[in-house]
Amino acid sequence: MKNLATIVVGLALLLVESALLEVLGLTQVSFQTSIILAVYLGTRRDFVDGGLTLAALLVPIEWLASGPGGFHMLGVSAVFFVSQVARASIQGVWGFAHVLLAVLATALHMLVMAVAMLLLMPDTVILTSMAWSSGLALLGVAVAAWPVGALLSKVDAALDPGSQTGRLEMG
Amino acid sequence: MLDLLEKHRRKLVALLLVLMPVAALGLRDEPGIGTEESPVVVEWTRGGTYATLAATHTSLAWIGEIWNSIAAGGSADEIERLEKEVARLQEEKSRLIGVLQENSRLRELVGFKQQHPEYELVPARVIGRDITPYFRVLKLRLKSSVKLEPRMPVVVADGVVGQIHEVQGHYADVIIVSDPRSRIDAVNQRNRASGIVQGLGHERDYLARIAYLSQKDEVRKGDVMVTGGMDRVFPKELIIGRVAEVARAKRGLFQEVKLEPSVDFSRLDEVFVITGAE
Repeated sequence: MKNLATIVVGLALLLVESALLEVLGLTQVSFQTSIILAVYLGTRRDFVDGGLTLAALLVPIEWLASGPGGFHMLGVSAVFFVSQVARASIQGVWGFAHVLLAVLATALHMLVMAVAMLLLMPDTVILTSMAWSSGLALLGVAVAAWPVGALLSKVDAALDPGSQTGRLEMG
Repeated sequence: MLDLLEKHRRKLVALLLVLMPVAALGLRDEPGIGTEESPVVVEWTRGGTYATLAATHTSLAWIGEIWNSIAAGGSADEIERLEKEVARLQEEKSRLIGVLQENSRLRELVGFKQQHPEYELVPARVIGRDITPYFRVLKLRLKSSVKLEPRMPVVVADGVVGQIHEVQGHYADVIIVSDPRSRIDAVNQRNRASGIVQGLGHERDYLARIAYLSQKDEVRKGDVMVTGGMDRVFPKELIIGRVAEVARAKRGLFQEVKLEPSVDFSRLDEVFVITGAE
């Protein structure tokens, strides 16, 4: 139930981002909701639950990203794997550490996309565009990571009140 | 079988997350604009996603209008009746301004239609944008049932917007002039010097560059570049933009020229798709 709710809310957030960018007339900026979702699922779910939830969101993420097929998706998957590694050592409540992780994850996402493009489309101008947009990409995720994560945490808390008590591991 | 799946579920999920992007990379179309037609299931699912996007866009625009009218009417606080009256008039004024703006946009579009009676134009509404900062893609909802094809030109009264990339029923993705994947054959309106307008995906503005413009051709800042028609995508003589910067390269055969598109992509509501010409 919690995972289904995350899929629905995640999809709604992605659609709102796409529509909001149009209403505000912004094309150079993005809030990188897809990366924040991958970080959230990576740090707040176990590998199987988080992975399956992300898999359900990957296709709509790819459609809304509108880039050359697979590159954005590959970066988002990589972010999930790294977030799972960071999961054990990050605070339980969504906060500054997660925002920082989301910013680092965005840099990783760009790196994965760039390496894949260098291997598969080496003469593309998209690499230059990515280099130019990197600052705004990091800024976008820094601004949006906290509210998006907080909203998803609220949804989790509403469906599973025990999930927001933080992970206090002893021994 | 279930035991096996249960035992290896972590590995299977990891494989799924790796295989999905790898499959998408393997199935991707050739670099450039225009994609193969999707299977019906994909078209329906994606069409459904875009229909929800259109509804989200309409709701957000409506919330924006309400917010504007509240912000405009929040100052009066002396007499309740006058407050209500002022708020009502301001809301009406805000609505009228919206109607006038839409009227003006539509008049421009009708003007464009009258200037180019030879083109078959299909109106469409912009409902969203791509969710990454690396690409420049608009999402459109068609206002008619005409079947679109990839690579069809998209224009407004000010000039060229871009080309259709993917079509899903009544919805389409448009790669705009400044997307790094965009390539448009162009000529200088003043001296017919030809080149290719390539998007740059620049961070601050919508600048593009004009590639393959010979060192021998004289190009000045402010020159208007129009479509050349050699790419067989765009009809001839549609305005793409003005030359913003000219730098003669120290080496090589071509000049380094930057172009500022004539269309303000941040303020697009309605566009036209050119579906054919007489």
